[in-house]
Amino acid sequence: MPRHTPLFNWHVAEGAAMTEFAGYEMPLHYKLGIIEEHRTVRNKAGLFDLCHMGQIRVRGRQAAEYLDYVLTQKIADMQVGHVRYSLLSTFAGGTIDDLMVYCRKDEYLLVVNAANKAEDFAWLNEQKGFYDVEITDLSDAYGIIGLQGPLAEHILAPLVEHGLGNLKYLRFLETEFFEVPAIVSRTGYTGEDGFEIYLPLQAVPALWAQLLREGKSQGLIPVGLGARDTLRLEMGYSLYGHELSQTINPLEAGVGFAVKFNKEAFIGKDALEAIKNEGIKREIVAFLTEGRVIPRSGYQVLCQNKPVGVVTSGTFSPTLERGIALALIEKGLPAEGLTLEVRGQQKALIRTNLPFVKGRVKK
Amino acid sequence: MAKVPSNLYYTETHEWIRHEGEKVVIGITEYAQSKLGDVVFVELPSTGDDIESGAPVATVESVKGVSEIYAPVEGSVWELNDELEDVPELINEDPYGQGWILSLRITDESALDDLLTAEEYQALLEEEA
Repeated sequence: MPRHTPLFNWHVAEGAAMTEFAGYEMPLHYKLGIIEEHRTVRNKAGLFDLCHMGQIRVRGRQAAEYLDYVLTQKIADMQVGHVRYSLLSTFAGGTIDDLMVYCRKDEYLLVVNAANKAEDFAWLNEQKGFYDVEITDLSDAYGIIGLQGPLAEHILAPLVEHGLGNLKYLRFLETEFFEVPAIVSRTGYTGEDGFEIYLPLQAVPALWAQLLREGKSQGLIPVGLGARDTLRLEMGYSLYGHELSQTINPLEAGVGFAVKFNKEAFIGKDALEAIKNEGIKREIVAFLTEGRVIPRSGYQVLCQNKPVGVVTSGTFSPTLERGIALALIEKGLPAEGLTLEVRGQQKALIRTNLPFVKGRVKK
Repeated sequence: MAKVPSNLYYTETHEWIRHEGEKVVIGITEYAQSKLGDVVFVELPSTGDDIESGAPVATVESVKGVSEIYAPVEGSVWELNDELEDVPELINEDPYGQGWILSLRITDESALDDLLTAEEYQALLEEEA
């Protein structure tokens, strides 16, 4: 049986096309469709149900030391109210998950991918050893609403006690939202300015409806997972299970910035250091296609008719109105002359730099 | 519930078929377009191509994914809906009308008897729901 977020009935009543994602029945898109939803987030604002994601709380005397051991990112120097992107690595340097670390007053909150939350929680406990920490899965206690788009601040500011004007990207504040305690962070997965609002799970439906009412005059609409994927892919953001996995390491995936080799021993450090010294053999790169070609995850990339890699994520970009792809290919290939195999035919691939579309997060 | 016009034949792969003398017009059903979402490209065959029953004859690409259109009966490609080249979203907006995809000149009219009736297709949709 698929699981449901507290907004499931709302999505169904709204006529959403539902899809199974990470064990949850989630809205793929609403009546407007993926393209309109995507454009609304780029031009105005969209609301996302992110209640399927996991939250793991780590606290205790040695919480920072422990996290510096299990995570690739530097944790001990984080300040309260800061958010950092990190990876959970295996000893061999494979990636168990990518996640956001929220540094609160007396604890850390790890926000993890829905598909991996059980595995992450089990791994974190296995690696606990003698660290004096308490690890708690709060996935069923918290819900997240994403509010993304250039009008997000305009919509949210009047509704929270604290001003949002001074809240920078990758920062959060603890506030009240319609008298409910909430974490509001300036974070997201779309490349637009925006926020993620953490609430007690049972408070989500009422506040979701309230936000939509308040934002309606600004053009705020609900947005499904379909546009969430096209928005993140236009930015070139990794998606676990596509660009990152147990068999694709962070250096190949292009998220080496989240691996801090200059800190003491951490899980995966030796393996990743060896990989770094030897040099990676594969890399995630960005391609555009021409004409009526839409790259899809799993399509083969060829160089002079020899397979050299595979598309990890591909779609039609609503902003560029053409095919875009991330692909894992052998390192050191020529920039020109690579082709994509589409139903037995070879189509031209144009190498490009990320992001596909310029981001507008508020730094 | 998605519309299922009673004057058409259907397939289990969600194509509709309208019989007009020696040709059949083919498109995808309202249910199929709702599952596909925003259609962005349609890849059509060439007129005159001979197609076996059950073989892929066209490809519909939506943002979400790619879907093959299968020939419901044997025939040769007669007409193509060229408008889909510039306005592929006609498939979403009017799947049974302006969103038709192509027509086939058919060799054996009796093959139509193997297709689903509107009632049978409706029952199939209720099963899938």
